[in-house]
Amino acid sequence: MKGKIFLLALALLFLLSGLYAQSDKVRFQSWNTGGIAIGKSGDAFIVQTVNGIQKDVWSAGVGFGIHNYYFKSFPLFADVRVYPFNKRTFYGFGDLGYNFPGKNEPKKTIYYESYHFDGGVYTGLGVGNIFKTGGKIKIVFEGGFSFKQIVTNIGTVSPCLTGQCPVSFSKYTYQLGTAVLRTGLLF
Amino acid sequence: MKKINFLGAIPFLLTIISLTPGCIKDNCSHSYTYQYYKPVYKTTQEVRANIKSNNPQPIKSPGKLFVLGNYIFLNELDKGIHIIDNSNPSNPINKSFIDIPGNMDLAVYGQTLYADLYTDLVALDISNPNDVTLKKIVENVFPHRIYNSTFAPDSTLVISDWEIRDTIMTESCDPPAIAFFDGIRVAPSAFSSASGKALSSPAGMGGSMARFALMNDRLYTVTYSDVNVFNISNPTVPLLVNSLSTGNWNIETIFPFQNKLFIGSQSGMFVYNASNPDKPVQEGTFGHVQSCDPVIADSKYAYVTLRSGSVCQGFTNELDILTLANITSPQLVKVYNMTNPYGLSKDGNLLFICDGEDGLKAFDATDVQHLQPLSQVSGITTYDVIAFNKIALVVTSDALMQFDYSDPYNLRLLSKIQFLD
Repeated sequence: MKGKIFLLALALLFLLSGLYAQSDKVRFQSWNTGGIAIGKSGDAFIVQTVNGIQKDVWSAGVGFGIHNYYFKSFPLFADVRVYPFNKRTFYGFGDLGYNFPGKNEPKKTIYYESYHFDGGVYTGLGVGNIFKTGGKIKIVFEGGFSFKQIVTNIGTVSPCLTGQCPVSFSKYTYQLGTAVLRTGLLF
Repeated sequence: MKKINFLGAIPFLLTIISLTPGCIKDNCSHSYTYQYYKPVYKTTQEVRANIKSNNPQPIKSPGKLFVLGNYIFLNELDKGIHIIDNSNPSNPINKSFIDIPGNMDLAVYGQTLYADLYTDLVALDISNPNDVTLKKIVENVFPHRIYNSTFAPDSTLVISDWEIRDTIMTESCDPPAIAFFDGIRVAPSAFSSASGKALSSPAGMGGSMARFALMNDRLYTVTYSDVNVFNISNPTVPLLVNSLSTGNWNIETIFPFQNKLFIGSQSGMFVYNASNPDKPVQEGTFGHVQSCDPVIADSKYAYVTLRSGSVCQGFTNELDILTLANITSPQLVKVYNMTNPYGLSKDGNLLFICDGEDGLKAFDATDVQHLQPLSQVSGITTYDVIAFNKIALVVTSDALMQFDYSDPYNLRLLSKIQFLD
């Protein structure tokens, strides 16, 4: 997994370097999509908004979303997109950021008396296509992959005879990879 | 001709790679630190030869406290009993230690001390606390000590001590295959903000333990699901006269009161009528009070503390006062909010409550509907108290303290025996 993240970071660096090689006008873009994440444990609703700037074949921005797969979380990430063809309707995207935990409970298979969730890394990769509607708003369809990490710290009370019973903690680290399908609007 | 940005092909390639089945998966890893307890064995002969007054030992894991005359008998969990000369409460002296491996409770009747040694009951002559002698062993009266299912002790030997080491483990979240060890893995206690120190023994981690109570020339003990009745008319020769099943599990405490036995489990309290001392009979239950909840009683009321953070998984922190007009069905008369209460004690109308990190609190309980706070000792974390003859013995997180309550508005510290870290 570390290797894949390294490859992704390398890819994003290449993409970002291309952004400055162009001389086209810079304009604001807002990508707002919703869809599903499909993984080994089922599927879940996801939604995100990415706001940034586009210059020639590149665009970069900041994204924020709601990712409900397995545990509810809120990814915050840097997003880069590239249009490989001149027509600029087909694109690829890459995301890298942090996954904030939402309000969750540990899985029922785990015995606990207290718990606390922490976030972890969030990444995403995929491709998409823009469908023009004739106006300023366009429709997009995207598909790809998302990965998120979330950590649960569990506390259990050990039996004792006197005094305050000691609490022991253990950590469950979840690394969740899903396929994603989204559709939405581009402003 | 279409212009293609070849650098832009990289994310497409990575996307294709990422969508392979190897990437669409859920991984979970579980990491934790545990303490590994490896037993140290002795022969039965070696153990029994050492049940006497030995050199004093530092106090590390105190259990039950018993006061008789000028002496304090303090259980060291799973190890034995400290004898403390308290002739001068301002200067208590840790005089000697009785080695009793597996000891979890004690009771004193006249000049005889009863203690459990794993599955056996021992009776000791304490007429001379400096020279305690073993009088009688009643064998196999308590169920075998139950540890976790992956440890089976050598049944031909006695566990006299434990070697402890911390180990960090990372494993898959799927339940591991069952494996047997020559020791016990225990969730660590070092993270407790209150104790801050490791347990010296894994005893009590789901094990079977004895709990003692004395009433009407009988010693009653409870272990996991049973009640044993010992006739101690001849104190140094206890006789097992009855062993009855309560029909319930996780029995942990027993409290005698007015020919009744209150037997506590994690799910509630069972009331037994002991009018026939050898054949107690269950005559009532009430679910409000559990074995995690310390209880004392006077002629009219029961005083119970309920706290959060115990294995009974309660969520309230309070003092409950119940009327005993109908002893098989006590009724709640008043609730007082507390911080995190533990043990309590009463001397006349003075009620002492160990309220965890809030320290020791003294109340005037003349009118149970309106307890009057008299004084508070702050800056200590308190767990248990015995108040008798103007001296309150208090077990705190790190010491055994004694307070003079002649003036209940001003509790005066007399002495402090520090526990070993």
